[in-house]
Amino acid sequence: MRIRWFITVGIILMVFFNSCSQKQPKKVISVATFVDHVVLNTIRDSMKDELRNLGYTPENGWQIIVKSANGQPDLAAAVADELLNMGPACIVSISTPSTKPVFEKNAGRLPHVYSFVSFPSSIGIKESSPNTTGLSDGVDFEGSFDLIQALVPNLKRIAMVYSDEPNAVISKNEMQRIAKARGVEFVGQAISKEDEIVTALQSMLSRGVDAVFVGADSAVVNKIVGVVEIANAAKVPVFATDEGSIKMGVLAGLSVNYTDFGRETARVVDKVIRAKSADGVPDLRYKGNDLLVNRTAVEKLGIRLPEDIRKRAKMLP
Amino acid sequence: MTDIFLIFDNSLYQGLQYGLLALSLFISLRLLDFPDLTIEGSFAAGAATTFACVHYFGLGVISLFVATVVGFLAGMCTGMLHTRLRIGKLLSGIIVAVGLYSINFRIMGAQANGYILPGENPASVLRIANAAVAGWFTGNNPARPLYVYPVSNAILLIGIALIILAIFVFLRSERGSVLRFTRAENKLFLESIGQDYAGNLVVGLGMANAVAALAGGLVAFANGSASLTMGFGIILVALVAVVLGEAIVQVFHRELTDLWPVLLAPIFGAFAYYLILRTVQELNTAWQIHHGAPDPTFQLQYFQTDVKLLSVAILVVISAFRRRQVGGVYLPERL
Repeated sequence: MRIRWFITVGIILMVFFNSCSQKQPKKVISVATFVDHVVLNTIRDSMKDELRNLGYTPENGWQIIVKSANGQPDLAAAVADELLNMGPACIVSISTPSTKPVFEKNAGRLPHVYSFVSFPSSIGIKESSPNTTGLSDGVDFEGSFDLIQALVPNLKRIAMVYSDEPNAVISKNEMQRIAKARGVEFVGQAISKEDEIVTALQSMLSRGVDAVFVGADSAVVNKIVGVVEIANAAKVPVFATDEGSIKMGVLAGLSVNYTDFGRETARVVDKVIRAKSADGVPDLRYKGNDLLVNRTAVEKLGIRLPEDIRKRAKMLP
Repeated sequence: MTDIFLIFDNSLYQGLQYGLLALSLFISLRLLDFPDLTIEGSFAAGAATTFACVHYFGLGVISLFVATVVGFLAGMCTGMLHTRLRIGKLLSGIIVAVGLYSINFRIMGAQANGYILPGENPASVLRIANAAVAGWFTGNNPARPLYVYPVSNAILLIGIALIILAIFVFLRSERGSVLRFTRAENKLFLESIGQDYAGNLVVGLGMANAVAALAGGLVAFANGSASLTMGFGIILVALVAVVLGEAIVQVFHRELTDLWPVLLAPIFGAFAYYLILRTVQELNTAWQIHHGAPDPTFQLQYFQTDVKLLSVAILVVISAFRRRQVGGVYLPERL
């Protein structure tokens, strides 16, 4: 009998909601994220700030609805349903696991902007996909190699430890290709466990290398303190592609600035809303362009920074 | 009115996929009295197998059968661990679920996330049909498209009805009746009628996990993706769905002794579960709009992380309103 009460209350709640939603403004930007994570939150917050600067404020009648999927794929699908059925002017999805259900369900009906998707082609998004555009993030390997050659002028051998995750393998393939093209010897060592990183690196250092490169590889990045310690003991500089590693003592690197990434996403959203369609807006590949240098590592290794790098670089303590 | 229809339709779509998962937990938990944690692994295994069959071998819908077989084997492993190696019920489930995590990675071709491309997904046809029906419904208004799944729901409903009918017919047969008696406390009785507890348990658990893997395969088709972590915590969804479903069925059917209402209960429960989640989310959205999009760290709002608390609250509330005694005799504690 009591269950009947619950059903009645549920129906009343839904009727209440139904009456609310009639007044809901059509000026809505809905944002789907996957989980509470430093990078995703940075993109989300900087995007909201920039959208506010561009005039998408509650005073102008605009609402930005953000829904996270709590890291659960089943909720990601439910959230995508809800956000799409809100009838927003534009739907934004941050990260690959959130983009996939939105892209699948939307099928080009509403303007869809994805952000922070490393390989859009892996989930079936093409440049020609209807009403879909967005930003993918990536490492600027050519630029990273330029940076290494600028800081280590007589670079002969470059070492790299990599795990078996896809991003790491891509990093390794790219570096190997560039090193070959520039006549630098590439020394690589695959590892399957985090414990093997230190041993693998030591054996490579004993063979004599001029620089160590750490790619977009969470296994190696987790052990970055050990990597830096061993390499610096042998007076070999370490280069990386993320800000966290450079803070932990890596000499320098080109990293994606996720605050700028979020702002850029907001500008794409603005373009899409003005055009009322995402068809004319090209997909962007946003590469790491923030040159970060660790001051302590520079002093420890006794490296003289070239003038142009000193001007561009953001020094971290 | 449209909004209520939308919520019902979308929740039904989710509920039908996860209803099969709840049905799996119903078989192991209620029929066999075996709290089976294997579904955390076999659900993901079903999705991974479906992804692999579609992506690498282009098998289409047949991959669902392969997924079912994989799930059956996983369930048999749990049963073997429990009956042959005499490992506890919970632990044997945990062992298989944890082991499947590594195996799923291999099944998916050494990837943590597998994505089925729209071109190779047989559900793409349904997606187009859904969009067409929705467009016909709204007069093809491009500014406000409806995201509903009438065709998918109809096909899922028919498919699930057939599966439930098959299970119903099986459980009514002589062989199935023995399975319904396969509980640890009936061991002596089973032996007295010349039946083997261990063998029946292994088959029963295999059946339960085959259904769980089928649910995983359906989810992989519906979302176009499979991931290693998709099974984590899914047992909570299944458990809430089973308990909620029983509460709903008891409104119409006082005693849970007939077979067909309790077989339908998990599906109702999963539907109701996603209906509740969706309603809470929509209310939260209305609240957010009312307050002009509050700061994401503002505490007086529904975070998506609260979904676990909400699920647990549903369980507690239903348990609080359950009959605790019949004719002055206390009923035993029930999961």
